Amino acid sequence: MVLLVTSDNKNFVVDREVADRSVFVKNTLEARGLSIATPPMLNGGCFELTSPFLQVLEYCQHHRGEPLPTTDDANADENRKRTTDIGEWDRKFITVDHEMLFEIILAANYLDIKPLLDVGCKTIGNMVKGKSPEEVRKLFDIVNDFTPEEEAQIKKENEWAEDP
Amino acid sequence: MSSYPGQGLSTDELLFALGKDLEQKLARPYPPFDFAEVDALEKSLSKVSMKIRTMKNALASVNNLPVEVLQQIPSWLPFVADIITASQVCRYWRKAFLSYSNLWSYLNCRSEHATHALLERSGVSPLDIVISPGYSPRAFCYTIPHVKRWEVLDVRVLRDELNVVFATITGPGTAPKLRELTIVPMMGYDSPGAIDVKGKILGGELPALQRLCLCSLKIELHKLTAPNLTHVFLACTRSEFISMTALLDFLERSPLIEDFELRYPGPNLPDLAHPDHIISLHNLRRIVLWDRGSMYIHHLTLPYGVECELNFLFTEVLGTAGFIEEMFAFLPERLKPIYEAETMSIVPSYNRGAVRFKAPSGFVEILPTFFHGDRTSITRFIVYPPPVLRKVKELFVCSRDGIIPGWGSADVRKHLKKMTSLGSLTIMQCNATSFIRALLPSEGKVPCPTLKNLTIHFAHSETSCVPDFKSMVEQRESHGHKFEKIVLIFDSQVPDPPDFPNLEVKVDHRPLYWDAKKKVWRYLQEGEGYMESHGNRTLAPPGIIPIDPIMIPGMIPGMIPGMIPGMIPGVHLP
Repeated sequence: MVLLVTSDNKNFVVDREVADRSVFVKNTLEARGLSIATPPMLNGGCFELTSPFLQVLEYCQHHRGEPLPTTDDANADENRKRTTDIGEWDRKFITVDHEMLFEIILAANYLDIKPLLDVGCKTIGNMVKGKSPEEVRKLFDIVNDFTPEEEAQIKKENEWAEDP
Repeated sequence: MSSYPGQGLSTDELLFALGKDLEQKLARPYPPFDFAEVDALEKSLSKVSMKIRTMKNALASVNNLPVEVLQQIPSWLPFVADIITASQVCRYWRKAFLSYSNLWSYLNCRSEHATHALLERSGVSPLDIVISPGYSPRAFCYTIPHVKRWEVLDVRVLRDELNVVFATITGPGTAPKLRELTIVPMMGYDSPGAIDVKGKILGGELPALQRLCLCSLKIELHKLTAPNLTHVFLACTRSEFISMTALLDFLERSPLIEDFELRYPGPNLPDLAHPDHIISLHNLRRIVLWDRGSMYIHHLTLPYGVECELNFLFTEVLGTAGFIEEMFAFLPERLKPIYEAETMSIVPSYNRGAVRFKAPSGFVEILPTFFHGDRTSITRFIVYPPPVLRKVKELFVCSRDGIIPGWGSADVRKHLKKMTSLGSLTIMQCNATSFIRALLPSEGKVPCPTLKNLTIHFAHSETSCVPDFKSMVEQRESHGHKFEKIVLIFDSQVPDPPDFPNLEVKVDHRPLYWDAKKKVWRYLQEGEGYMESHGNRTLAPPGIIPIDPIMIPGMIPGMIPGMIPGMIPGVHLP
């Protein structure tokens, strides 16, 4: 078992297999020479993101035992032919409001949980897909901060994309 | 962790943008102002307004994501148009996405303008070149100076469009980073004439190549070196051939191959490799061979755990028994070291057949399928290795219209004897005689000594074997092996039914057939017919006969068992 302590001093005891879904936690534990037999503590190792932490743990719990991403998988990520499909459980899991979605992504990035980070990024990608810049702005509370001159310039730069 | 860039303005910067004398300017009575002064003021205000908007955007939740995370988002967008849209949302996104060259490395070469722009934006990132029908050859040519950046080349175009591709890729350029090469002319496998590719593809040296997919091409494989290949898919037309020796040499020079599929090719007989030409692919995990390409299996040493599938035309299965015999004769020997951990099945479906090895379940299965017009009938032939046969507790054997004459009787007896734990045996519309004889004690030994329940559904008026049946039961009883329950089902009245206390005799004339869609056995005419038991005639229940599979560890769920081994010549248990 592993004891994880969040920044507001909440303790979470989880199986090592669950904790190891996070490369950050895994490396931390390994660097300190801790093992499953010795109940380890991340002394002073605090996670800044308390609120999504439970969500992240739920994800790790569900995906425990699955093979961890390898270096080959990371290389494959560079390939654009990645699928944007999200598994049913993951899709339900990630169906949260925008704030929580970004929090989960931040947590996944911080804790180095690549599959969860991918699910989060895919979800945002699916939201953006097929929308106009204005629609995307509206979706994420962003305002147009280009000057008219810049907009004209951008349009000109991207004329090639309108080729048949 | 990087975050939103510091684009906020200090008060001084704001004042500078608006002009330090703004207050004085606004205090002046108006007019007089000249146009230049008003324009300048308006421009300054616009600039400040945009700066403030940028500051506002820094507060948007999505922009709290680190830039390296934000950059991942458009990498999941399938079309470059969506990435361009994303780059037009705000300054932060624009800067983030334009500076991430990997986002712009996918080129479909449909437009010269677009290809040129993407080549520029992709910087030094590895390129994915994907060419489909209607591509622009000139646009493709733009990528040639960047050949060292090619990571993926995926060509799926009409046959006539291939000339430019080959004129280009058989030139002097090398692609040291190429990981995937796919060339698929868009034409049917049966189209006459493969495309003859002369010269070396990309210099012949592809040190990074991991995946190779070539269809309908005559390629001089001996000129290609790809030592890091892991996945190979080759498909050819019927009218061509790949030199078997050349292909084996090529495979041998690519020892890391994990997945190999060979579709439709020869070898044509004049080009058979020498029988002693056997190569080892130690990393092989899956191999799929089609038609006469299945003969390559003779030249490969199968590593432990490999998943193997051999597919062949059903007509060849039935029509050229010698070929099949030759093909499979080696299997027991080849599988011997891994016999108890591997499974093998021969699965014809529609007009094709397949042999599959799966690991690790512990049995061998041979399944021929027959199709007669609009009616499907399936006979299953399962051959289990002895360790598994010894575990079989319940066996169901069924065939439509009875067993096909001349097939299997001897092997049935041989393998039934190996089922030393068998408790229940059901034989439906098969050649019951052979099974009855198989249960006869011989040389003081009783086959299937634990057998307690026996059900025989006779076919084709097999009433003539009643005496054999009586003799079998009596002989087993004389050795101390009594049946607890026997059910005999005849398709007509039996003049002299056996008379044992534990025997039930029924009459049911309806033939069975296999409902392939629902995977159940059905009576041919539902609701018709009758059953007779101890002289009492009752209407037969219509419809489905549920059949539970025999319980064998590792058995494929849903598999309907039956066992008539030895169907295909040349396959024998060790």
